[in-house]
Amino acid sequence: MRVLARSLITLCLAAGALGAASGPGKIRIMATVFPLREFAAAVAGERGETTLLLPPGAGVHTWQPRPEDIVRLSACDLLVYIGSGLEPWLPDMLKAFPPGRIRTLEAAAGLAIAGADEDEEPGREHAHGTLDPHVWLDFALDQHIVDRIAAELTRLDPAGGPEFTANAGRLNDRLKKLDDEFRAGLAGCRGRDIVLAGHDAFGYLAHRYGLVQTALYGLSPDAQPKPRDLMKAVDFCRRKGIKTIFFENSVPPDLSRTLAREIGGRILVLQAGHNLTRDQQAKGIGFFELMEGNLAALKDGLGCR
Amino acid sequence: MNALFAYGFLQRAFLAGILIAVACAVLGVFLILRKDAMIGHGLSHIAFAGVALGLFLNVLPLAAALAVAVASALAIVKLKGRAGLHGDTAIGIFSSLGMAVGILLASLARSFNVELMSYLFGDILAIEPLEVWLSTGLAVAVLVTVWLNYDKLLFMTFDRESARAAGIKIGRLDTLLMVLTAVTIVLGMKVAGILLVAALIVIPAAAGLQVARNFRTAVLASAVIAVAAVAGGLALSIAVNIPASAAIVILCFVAFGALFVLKRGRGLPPASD
Repeated sequence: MRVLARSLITLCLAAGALGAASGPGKIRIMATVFPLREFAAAVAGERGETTLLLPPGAGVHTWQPRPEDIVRLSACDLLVYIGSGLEPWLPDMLKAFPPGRIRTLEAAAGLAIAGADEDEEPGREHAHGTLDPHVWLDFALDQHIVDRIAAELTRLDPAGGPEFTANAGRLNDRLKKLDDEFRAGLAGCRGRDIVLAGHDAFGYLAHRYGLVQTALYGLSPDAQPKPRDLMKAVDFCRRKGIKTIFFENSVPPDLSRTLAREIGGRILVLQAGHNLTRDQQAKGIGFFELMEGNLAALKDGLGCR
Repeated sequence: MNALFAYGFLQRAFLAGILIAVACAVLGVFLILRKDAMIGHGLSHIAFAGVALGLFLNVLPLAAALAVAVASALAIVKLKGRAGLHGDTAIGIFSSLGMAVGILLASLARSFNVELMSYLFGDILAIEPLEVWLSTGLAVAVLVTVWLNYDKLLFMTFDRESARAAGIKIGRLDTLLMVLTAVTIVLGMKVAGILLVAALIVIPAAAGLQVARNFRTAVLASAVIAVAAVAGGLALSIAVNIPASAAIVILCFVAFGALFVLKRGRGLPPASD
């Protein structure tokens, strides 16, 4: 089995080397999650080609790479990933290559420090000792990530430097605008509680705009909620008079229905945006559209003016 | 106890769980004595393929699972009769095929892993009102069928050849039993999950058979044990905050273990009619 795996990897590397040799001169960037792909594509512009490692609909927390994914990765110049435990399968996947063979950029790497500097909760430490990896839902942190992508691309392709910097600047302007829209849109709301029948993905977003997230699942969507978790959520909604359950589609939809039925409420969808479904991908939905959708759902559900 | 009145989802969980438990236990006694104990295991794995197919084709997963499980149950009966396959060989073949097809479909579609997983472990907290009605219908169907065909089923269970010679339509009864089992498994999937639903068929019935002096009391005892395990397991899962399906199956085993030891201590004879 080991021998087979080794020879498979050698084969992959050979294929990758071939791919690299015949490339069209653009930087080939692979991103693990959708927001990073969007950012990388916007920063690289015409000088790069970006692909998404995860297939549509796959859950980033639970996905397992297949041999062909290793081949695809081997053909890339740069892998951009979040880190902080979002991609638990990545260290093993990188072990398939000689050390240093795959150039990587860990997007969340410097961010915990950035958070501490800005007098925010440093890195949002969680009960089980891991950091919340859903950093892209904080549009200020996103701007740091965008700058780091531009810097890394400049190292790879120095001639493209000015272009990358300009692209990053434009993208960051859009992110600033998005941040302002969220801040303004969520300023005067009747409720401040996001009851999420999903996994704990919106901590950064909630914290940034003064909302409180109560999630049925933990940081990773694997663990099944237990009866008391559901009872607590029902009690919480009843006590606070909450009539809107937010659903996030990395978990099965049935508990959101149970919860909504229990409180006689309705379900609105929030998109954490790790990944798109196949339908969304076919429609060509982008990061900003996804986030505008979230803002609309939040304003509706929390009763914002 | 107060919790039961305050939360609709707990009422539905208890109600559907108890109804499914009765159906499982009653069928289980017949299945064990026919040496078909593993049929539940087999059909639940086949139902996995059905769920995957339903998700793949974007139709109701429960309906797809039902269709696939019933069709496979019929195929298993046929294969057993015609191909002369011994014991549970047909079950072994179909259950692995079911898992393989399920995994294949999940990999082909690549977009519903999360939902498929919830079927593996069950979701007793998310039982819909419709599913409570379906469980009621199922429990009634199982009890009425057994009631109406009690003597024939009993005869066939203990002595197939003589039953056939006596003019009992064994094939029809086999089919009936298998179809009921398939439906029970698919509905039980929601309560205990694909991986554990077979336990509801086997363990309470095996426990009942430990203590019963005749067939009738075996059926009754199995049903009581199953209901107690489901109700107790749910209560335990609320009290200690552990997953319900695991609590139910462990309680089933505790009941079995206790009765097994009790029987050894008292020297009761094995069940017979």
